[in-house]
Amino acid sequence: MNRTILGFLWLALYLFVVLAPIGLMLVPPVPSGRSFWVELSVALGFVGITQIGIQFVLIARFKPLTYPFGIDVVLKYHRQIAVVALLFVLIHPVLLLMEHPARVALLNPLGGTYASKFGLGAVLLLLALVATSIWRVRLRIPYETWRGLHTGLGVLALAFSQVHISLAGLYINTLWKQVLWLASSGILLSLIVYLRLVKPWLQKRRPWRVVGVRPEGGGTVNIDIEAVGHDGFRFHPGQFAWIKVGGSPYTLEEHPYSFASSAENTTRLSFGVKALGDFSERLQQLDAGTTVYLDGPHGAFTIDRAQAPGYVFIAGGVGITPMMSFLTTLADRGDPRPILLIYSTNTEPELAYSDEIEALKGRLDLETVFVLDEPPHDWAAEEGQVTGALLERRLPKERFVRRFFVCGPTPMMKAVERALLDHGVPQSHIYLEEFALA
Amino acid sequence: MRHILAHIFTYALAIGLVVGAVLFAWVRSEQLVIAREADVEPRVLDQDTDFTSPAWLAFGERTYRVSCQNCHTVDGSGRGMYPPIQRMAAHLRAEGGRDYLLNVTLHGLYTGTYGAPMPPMPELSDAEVAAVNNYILLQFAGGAQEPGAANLFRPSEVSARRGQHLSEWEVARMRPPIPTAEALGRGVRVNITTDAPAVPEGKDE
Repeated sequence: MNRTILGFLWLALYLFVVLAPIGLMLVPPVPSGRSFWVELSVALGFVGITQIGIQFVLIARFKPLTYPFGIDVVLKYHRQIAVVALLFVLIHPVLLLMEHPARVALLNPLGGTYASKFGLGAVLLLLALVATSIWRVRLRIPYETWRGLHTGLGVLALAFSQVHISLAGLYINTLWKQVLWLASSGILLSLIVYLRLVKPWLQKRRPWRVVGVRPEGGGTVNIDIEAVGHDGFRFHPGQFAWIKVGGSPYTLEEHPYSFASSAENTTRLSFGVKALGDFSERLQQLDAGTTVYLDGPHGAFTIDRAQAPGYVFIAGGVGITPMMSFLTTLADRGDPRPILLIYSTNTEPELAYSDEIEALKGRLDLETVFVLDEPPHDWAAEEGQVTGALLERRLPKERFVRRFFVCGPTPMMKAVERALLDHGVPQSHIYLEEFALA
Repeated sequence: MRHILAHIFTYALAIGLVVGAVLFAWVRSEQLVIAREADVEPRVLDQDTDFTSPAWLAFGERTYRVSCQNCHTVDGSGRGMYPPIQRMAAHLRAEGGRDYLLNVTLHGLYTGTYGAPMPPMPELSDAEVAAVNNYILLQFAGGAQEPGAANLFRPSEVSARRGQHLSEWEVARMRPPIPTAEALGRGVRVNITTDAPAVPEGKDE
């Protein structure tokens, strides 16, 4: 189906789902309306918990669902809307207290009712969940520990909220409404089972094997893997996959890496991995023959979604990885379109894949601009950063019809985007890929 | 571009949800409820002075179900989490008891015995307050606690109790001197098979 139509269909369904509780509350039998602030509090509570429930759908990595938007956007939305939902949930008891201060008795965890106890518990769980996510690094929580904690707190918070809703609400006053709410919560919680048990089980049947580990420049290592006993998968150049290493696909330890290889080869993939943490260091030391599991392909940063008469690829550091996938794929397809690659690193040895890029020049209409921050004294190409002046010198005349793909450290991408916009490149022609995904 | 559109969507949705919630609260507090015609207060109640008639009882039951049952439960026992409201006819006969029952419904009650205060429910109409009190008195009467048809509440009584600005603690102090289980020393002996009202047939939680 057309990507845009599918996207709008998902959004329409999403709006329906998030507003459904408000609609459901108006389905008779309904209690007599109470004061404005009580009803507002109840509405915010319901809307907040619905948003929190939907988080379980957003993180389940359903490809048909993330495909129109890109999973990076979906995960970013997951982080943002979670904070909005928490605010709604926090306002819910505050409004009830303001309207009727005697309800303060409900905040006593030993007193109150079961409804208030579970409500209080859900709020505390949600606060812990958001705090450990926002300040994970400051709290020195290891990534894998945090993932387990995040899932556990989320599941508990939703379960507590569901008990609170079942016990407290005047609006859940019939059997069918109770059943509907319980069933919805049950389905949402089962998505965790899908993501953590069903998906790994499927991955276990499609293992991959490391066939080569080759150091590239600048602490980047190229890892080649091969499908074991299956036909691999088709992906678009520039997409990525979550990689799990070791015996079990049920581990929480997985990290996303972009493919560096051609999308035309579906059974042999390669990744560019830069040592940025414990996991990537371990990846770099893998022995040939190690089994790895992939969750993918994911991502919307791909030239296949942006047809244009020509491309400009701007890479910073290990951001060259998806660009290599673009270039090798275009070469394999015999694509005649003109391509400009601007690749910046600190020093010359840090330029990864430079031999491969040089070889690709014979197969593509490819022009390269290497930019070094600290060039050697005999460096003939550009030096410094990718700035407006550099772009002015190097961009082709038909820059307004080309599509720009930028991948690199966040400050570099921000600066490049700004410079491109200043040079009249339309916003809709600029595609950015961030490393930080969650 | 995708990221910018996503940001716009996030803000729009957050604002939309707040607007939706405010709209909902306004619709509800203004009593602009979409309801089945049968649920709407029947006009015939104005003339019908037999408060034990099926129309009044059905109206009382409906009010109980949507506004009371989630706490006080389907049999009026509260299941130990909320105050039981069974065998209330003793209140009716006690000094000031009639006003007390209406005050509890309209102005709320807090004694500290149970965790949650009874919220005031001034939004209920006169007919709803009368009907639901009558329903509780009749439905949860138990064996020997029939209120008697003549003692049931009339809507006109309810309007007289409105606008008093009573706090829930003040309502608690107006409680009529009904002998409590504690005062009796041994608790009230209840024969579950005969005294406790059964859950009406076909009605679950």
